[in-house]
Amino acid sequence: MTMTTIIIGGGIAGTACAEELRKLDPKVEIILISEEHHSLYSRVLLPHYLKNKVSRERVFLKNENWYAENNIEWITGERAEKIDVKNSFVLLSNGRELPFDKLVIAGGRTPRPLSEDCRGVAYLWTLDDADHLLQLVSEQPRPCAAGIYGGGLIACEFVNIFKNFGLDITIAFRGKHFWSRVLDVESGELINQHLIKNGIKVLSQAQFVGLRGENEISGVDTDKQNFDCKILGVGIGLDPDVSWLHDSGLKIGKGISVNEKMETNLPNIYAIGDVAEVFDVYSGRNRVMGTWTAAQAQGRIAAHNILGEENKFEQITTSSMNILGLDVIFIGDNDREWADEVKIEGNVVDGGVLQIFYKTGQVIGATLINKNLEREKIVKLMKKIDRAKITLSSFTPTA
Amino acid sequence: MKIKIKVDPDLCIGAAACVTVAPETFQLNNENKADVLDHGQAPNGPSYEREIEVTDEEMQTILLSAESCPVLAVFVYDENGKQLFPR
Repeated sequence: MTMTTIIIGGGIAGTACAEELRKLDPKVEIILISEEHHSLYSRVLLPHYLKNKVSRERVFLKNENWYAENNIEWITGERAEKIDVKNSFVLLSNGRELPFDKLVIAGGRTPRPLSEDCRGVAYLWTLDDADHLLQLVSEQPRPCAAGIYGGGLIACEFVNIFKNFGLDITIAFRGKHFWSRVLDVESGELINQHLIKNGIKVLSQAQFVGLRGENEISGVDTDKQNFDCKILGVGIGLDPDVSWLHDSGLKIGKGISVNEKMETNLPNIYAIGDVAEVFDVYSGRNRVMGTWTAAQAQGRIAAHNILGEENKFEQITTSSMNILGLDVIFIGDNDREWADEVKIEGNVVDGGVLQIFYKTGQVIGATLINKNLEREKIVKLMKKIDRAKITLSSFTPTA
Repeated sequence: MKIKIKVDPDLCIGAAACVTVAPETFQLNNENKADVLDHGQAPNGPSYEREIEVTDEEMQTILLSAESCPVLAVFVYDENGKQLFPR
């Protein structure tokens, strides 16, 4: 009998899983459920598209025919609303019940919304968000004041994009600096000073209070200072799409917990990509990897394991960004509470700061601000990790 | 077979997907961009472009690394100059 695999989520993790499954087995029935109507595109290319470095067409990694050509049933515009583990079926938002032999959850994460909304407020996660932002920016005469609220990766992308459009930028965030829970004071101050040097007004330790404007945004109130803006880019974090799974019996932490084989605690159910909290062999705990490369690899690994292999996810994750010429690189696990010790090299005056995170005397991660050449050294050190020494917190899936 | 590999430094964001998949062919440089290597070596110094001789297996790995790049900054050509990736 033909095996049916349902994959929930049509992003890079889910699509990589479908593609690999099809490569490995021409007969397996594959159903890919995607809430978005677009075929697979690269989120990572959206900033390039917004800066006119690539065309909108170039953002797509699969065309709409690819799914049928590969005998993948592609259901768009629908959400999975419930999993019935006992009877092995998924309930869709249109009421359809789909039975499965294997289930892969690849629902990703969604941007945390502000408590208020009005025209002029923009997010940057989907292609539709990017199109919306482009529309907002093109409507505004120059000079134009733009605001950003948030201090993470997406806020950083907004800085680059707004600067590219020649907007006058004010950025506000709750912490003392960008990535305030990960970076030390010197790293954070280096970024703050770099932003100020580039003509950006920085409001640190500023909590969002409300939006100003009737039908369209005219400004933002924070508990520190208010500022005018005609566009506001919001990047205050991402949450895994797991609210619909809370009574499923799946073990959920900061994402759906899986082992290195991408198996959840329930039989025949896998989780991959940004929705998964995978066991990291390089730091000894489960964590959400949050990178494109990890999501793609996890999709491929799950496909092999669905077909009875025993592949494991073992990757030193890196995420890298550039804020107006300043390189910021995160390697491995950068959780200050999980690390036993964090060593800092460099400072604002040197123009570069390296933080190295240690666990049981071994390197489990690092942050590099303008310290690109240290990357190779850190990765080499991490590859030498004695896994037996790292405290293991993985779990064994129950049958 | 001989292939040409090219990285567009203007698109490359240093995500290191290519380095993860094909460390013998790519290495990140001081600018946080991927240089192309010839079997782990950089004859005539660092470069974003290189013609190299590869086996079928190496070719598959290089194509997979190009496919893994989230910004499609890796271009692969056959010996006749035909673009193999992005397709």
